[in-house]
Amino acid sequence: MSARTTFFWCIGAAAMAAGLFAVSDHARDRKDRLAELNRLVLAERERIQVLRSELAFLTQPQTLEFQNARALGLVPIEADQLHRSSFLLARLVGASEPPRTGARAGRDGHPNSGLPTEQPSRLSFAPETGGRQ
Amino acid sequence: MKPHRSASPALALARTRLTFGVLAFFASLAVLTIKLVDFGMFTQDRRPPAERTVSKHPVERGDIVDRNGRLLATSVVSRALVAWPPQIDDVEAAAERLSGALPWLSFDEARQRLSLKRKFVFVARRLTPRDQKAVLGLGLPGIGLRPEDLRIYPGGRLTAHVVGRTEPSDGGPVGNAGAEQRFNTVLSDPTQSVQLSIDIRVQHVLREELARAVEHFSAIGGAGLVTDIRTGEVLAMVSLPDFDPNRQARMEEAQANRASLLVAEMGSTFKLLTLATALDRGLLRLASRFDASKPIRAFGHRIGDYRGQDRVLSAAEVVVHSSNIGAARMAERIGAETLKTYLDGLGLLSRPVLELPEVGHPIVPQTWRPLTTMTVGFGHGLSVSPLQTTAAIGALANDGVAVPVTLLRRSAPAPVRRVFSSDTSDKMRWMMRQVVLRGSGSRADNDAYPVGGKTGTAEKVVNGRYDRRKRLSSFVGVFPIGNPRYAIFVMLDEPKARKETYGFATAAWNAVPAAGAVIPRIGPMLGVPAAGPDSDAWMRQIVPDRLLARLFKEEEA
Repeated sequence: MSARTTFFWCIGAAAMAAGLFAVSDHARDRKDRLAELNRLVLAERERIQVLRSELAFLTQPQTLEFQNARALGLVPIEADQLHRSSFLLARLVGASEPPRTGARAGRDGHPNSGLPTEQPSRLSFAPETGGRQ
Repeated sequence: MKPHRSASPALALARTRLTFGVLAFFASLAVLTIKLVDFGMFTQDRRPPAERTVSKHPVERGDIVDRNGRLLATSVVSRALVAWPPQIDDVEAAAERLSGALPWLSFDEARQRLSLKRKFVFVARRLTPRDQKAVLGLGLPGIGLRPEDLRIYPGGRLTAHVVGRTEPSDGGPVGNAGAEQRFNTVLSDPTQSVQLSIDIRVQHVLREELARAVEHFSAIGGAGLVTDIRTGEVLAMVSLPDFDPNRQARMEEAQANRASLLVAEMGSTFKLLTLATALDRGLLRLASRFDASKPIRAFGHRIGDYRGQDRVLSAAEVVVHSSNIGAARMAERIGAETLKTYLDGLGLLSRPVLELPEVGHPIVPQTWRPLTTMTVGFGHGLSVSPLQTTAAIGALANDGVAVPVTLLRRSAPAPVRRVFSSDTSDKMRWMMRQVVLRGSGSRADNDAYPVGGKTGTAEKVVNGRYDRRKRLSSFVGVFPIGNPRYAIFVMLDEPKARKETYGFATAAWNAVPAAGAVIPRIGPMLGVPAAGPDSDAWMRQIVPDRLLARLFKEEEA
């Protein structure tokens, strides 16, 4: 092996060692960053979990009822504010009589009757009096 | 050319050095190459545990939610105050500083915990962030914080019996009641959650009205259920007295789930099942007559009516006036085997399948003597749970089709079985409506949602004897009865008479009004439209008005 060859091997080894050191250093930085991010993710998840729990406490029916009574005075929806969508359709086309709904529909929509189920609509239909106050 | 002899040792030495140098170089190169390959290919597997937490959930247990996704049980990360006693030099000083930093921790308690002859002890749990900061600020050796799961129940008492609770263990929280216990394995995976069929809004209304009735009538407890009779889903299940799972470690006996665990004679609600069985088998018609003019004396026992009509009654009147005599005669006509077959078909003779550990076994008579058949006909001699009663009456109204009850939200239809014919179911819906229009269920009715149902008042058995002063009063109803969808059950345990009830403590005066207060409140929540005028028109298709005089004495006039 000539001196020149040996020299180039040495240079190559030194360059490789330097490159390896740089890569290792970069990798270590990345690892530290990753670990930090993981800790942050976990901490965020903990906070989100706490916030979800607090929201669940705040939106309990009894809490909402109390806060509503204290500050808003809203009233729950009542039965006569619910109608089926077919009822609105009948009103739009000018039908004088609303279609049979609820109990008046008899066995319509029963799963064992073989008839299609008519889905109730949550649409609140305002009567001629101008709606509920 | 041969080397010069005198230069030979120096040359040999140089060669040796060179050889070692080259070997060292290649060895270093080999090491570097191996490290490089190792770094490039295997680094991921060698990451320290702290770096593999990207997918780790902050808590150890999954959530329980209601049918609309509202949280019923969840976990948050809390910190516990822990100590390593061998590392503490001065226990007295450490206890004094800890109790100074945490006002709620007494010196004696802290000293007692720190003095334990153990390597590791829990001093206190559930530290607030402020407490945690105070402890860390002390910098005491041998004292630290440890993260732990804190199970919380936002609904508190509202869903206590359904959701249950957990207790801490070495392997994390373990369910010891309710859904927490039943689904413990599923919930142990924090990525999994359990969705119940419960609707927390309906649950709230039912609990509020039931608690009001329990307090008003000074009852020792109560139970309530709302089920969807078409899917079998339990929308609300309430038992009083209840407990706060956030505070109480274990249920006391008086707080047992009366809705599913308690089994008792349900009384007159069974008369509906007796009549339905007889109608379904073609053994009688609604107009069939039964002599209820005097009590039955059979097999050394007397069967009488609570407030007897003392006359011949039609089958319809037997149910409306809740005649024990008439129901016993019906059961006698049905016979033991047929009655048992139908009760079994309704699931009243075996333990119901429900996703709770607290489900009671019915108490079924081992031998059915003729007297047993007669008493079962009016709801005595066979003890079942409110859950079973609600499911059975639900099947009666659901076109005669029984759907298994469940506490889980159904994503697919459940397997069903027909128990009664559609014709029988229609007649029984008519019958249940008559009980509300003419009989003891009138206080459950409202304009928007016509109700059908039946009351039951049964004396409790104390030391093997019926105690007249201790009663279970109940009402089971279905609404809207013209197009049945939901079943409701309300029961009061030992209600007391009041001045405004004229000394009565029967179901008509306490359980029925409670159910009547619930129905108009939950109907809109469940999206049930109001019935409108002439909501009972469907009844004329089942029993025309002209036939009413043959069924009810008051119609004769």
